[in-house]
Amino acid sequence: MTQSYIVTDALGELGSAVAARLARDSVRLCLSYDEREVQEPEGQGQRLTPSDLTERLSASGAEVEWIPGRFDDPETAESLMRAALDGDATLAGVVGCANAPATGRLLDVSPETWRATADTHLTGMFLLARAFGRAVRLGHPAALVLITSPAGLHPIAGASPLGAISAGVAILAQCVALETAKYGGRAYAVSQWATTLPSSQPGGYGKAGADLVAALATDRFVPLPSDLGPNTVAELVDFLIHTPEQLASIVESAGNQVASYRRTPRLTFALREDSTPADVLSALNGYAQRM
Amino acid sequence: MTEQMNGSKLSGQLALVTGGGNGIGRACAHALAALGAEVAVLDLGCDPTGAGPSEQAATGVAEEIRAEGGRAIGIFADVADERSVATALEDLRKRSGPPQIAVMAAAIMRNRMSFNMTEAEWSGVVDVHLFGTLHVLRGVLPAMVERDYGRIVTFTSIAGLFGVTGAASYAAAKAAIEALTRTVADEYRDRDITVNAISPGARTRLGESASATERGAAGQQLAMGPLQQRTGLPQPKERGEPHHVARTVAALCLPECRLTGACVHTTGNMVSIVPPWQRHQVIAAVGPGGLDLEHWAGALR
Repeated sequence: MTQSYIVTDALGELGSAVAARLARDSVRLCLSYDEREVQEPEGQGQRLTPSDLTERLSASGAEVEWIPGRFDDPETAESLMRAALDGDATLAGVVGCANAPATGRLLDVSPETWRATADTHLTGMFLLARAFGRAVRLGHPAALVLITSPAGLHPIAGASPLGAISAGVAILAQCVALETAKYGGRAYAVSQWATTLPSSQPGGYGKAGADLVAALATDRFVPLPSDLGPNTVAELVDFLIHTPEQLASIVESAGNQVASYRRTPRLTFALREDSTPADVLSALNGYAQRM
Repeated sequence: MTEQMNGSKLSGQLALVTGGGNGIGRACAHALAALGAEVAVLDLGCDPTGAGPSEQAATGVAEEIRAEGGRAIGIFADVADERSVATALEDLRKRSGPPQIAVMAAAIMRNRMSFNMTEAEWSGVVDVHLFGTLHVLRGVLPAMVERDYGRIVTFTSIAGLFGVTGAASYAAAKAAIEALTRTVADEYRDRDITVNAISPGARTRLGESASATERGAAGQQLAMGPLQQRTGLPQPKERGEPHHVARTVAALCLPECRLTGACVHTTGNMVSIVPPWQRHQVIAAVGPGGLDLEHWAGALR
């Protein structure tokens, strides 16, 4: 039986690395890209073309089908899913990559940029997640992986709208994991810092980029070279898709590190019915002082 | 002036409260007025699904506040519409000046499992919550920066902090608001401008409307019960009411507030700080011998 996978933004650094990682015999890869990006290269050298990547993936024995289209167009996700489920194929994994690195301080980012980032990154991920959920309910116990940015987990100055939208994508994955679990679905948000996009390079966004690297770094953190970083993320994606249990739904791949994320409430206190706002503030200011 | 309206901690300040016509927003408007603020009650007057705009919601609450001896005006505007917000703020500036306080409680819900959700249901919720917050932030911040003073309270949700079934659009928008709040707070940390997010738990028509939707469990989870157990948040002795939330919101609007970039969950008599996402387990993806796959599953559970 053919196992099928969907990968969006498959001509991007990360999408192509994921597609290459998943390519093998008896596999169908349903890949998409946004035609606008192919037509408008950003001076980053020769961009990968669909035929280049098809040749590379086919050499691994995979069947490749391209569905070009805008990520925020519902028809793109639905066409990808139709192609993935065609014939006797079983859906194994859906990987949402989207190149939406817009960032800046709140008042410096135009409403149009906000809207474009939300449409591409957040709405696009929802449309893909919806198609995934419908397929899972049809009897395809697959995994969804939404690639997002660490700016959503480590909010810092100068990182909107990417930070806000990435946080939304992370929780979307968590919601989908909860909603599809009883049908055999699994869902993850992978926060990645491994590609050579401007957003991923230290200093690529000035202080915001440097602050983000500082937030990611632990005493064991080692950045990886550009030829290895995307492959490491792709390895993690492959691992998550093929591990049959739902692991932590928010995962990070940054440099040489893989991490799971959680949050635990702090400073819980009880109020009396007659407590005033000043009483509440006293406790909150005490917390602020300790932090 | 009534006994309730004798506060002076916020006298001379103008507070904008979006979604002030009902529920928690209305309670916030009353709480800020009770502390002496002039309140601009902004509301589109829709029901929880976003249907049926009406000026009455905003003007009605403003009348309630004035009847108690406070100062308030009602503003009929749509937070999801950037022009509507800009016009409302310009009119407000001409009448009373720019607000020193902004509380963003406007909300709708269209609960449905993600695999059944329409594009319109998704974008309707994202537009009101995320873009509604963004439009107001962009509208009020320049004057706050100019004056080097401001108190901003955004509204996130336990759904946005931990995920929930049956409300993916709401959860995603609320998660984005939480991150945006922390980001903007960081951008103005060197000024006397505080930006905090509230995650409220209270009995409101919004929460009750969720129970009548396709996935009634979402409403119950948002209010209390299973979700709070999963998250480690405290269970209040009694289900919270809007005025409990408003008390904490008012605290964050006081001039003495030093907390910024925080997310405060408040329900009933309980208040908790919810920190950002934190690494639970960290492992080296690449060890000396290559990718260290056998340790991944254990670390990522």
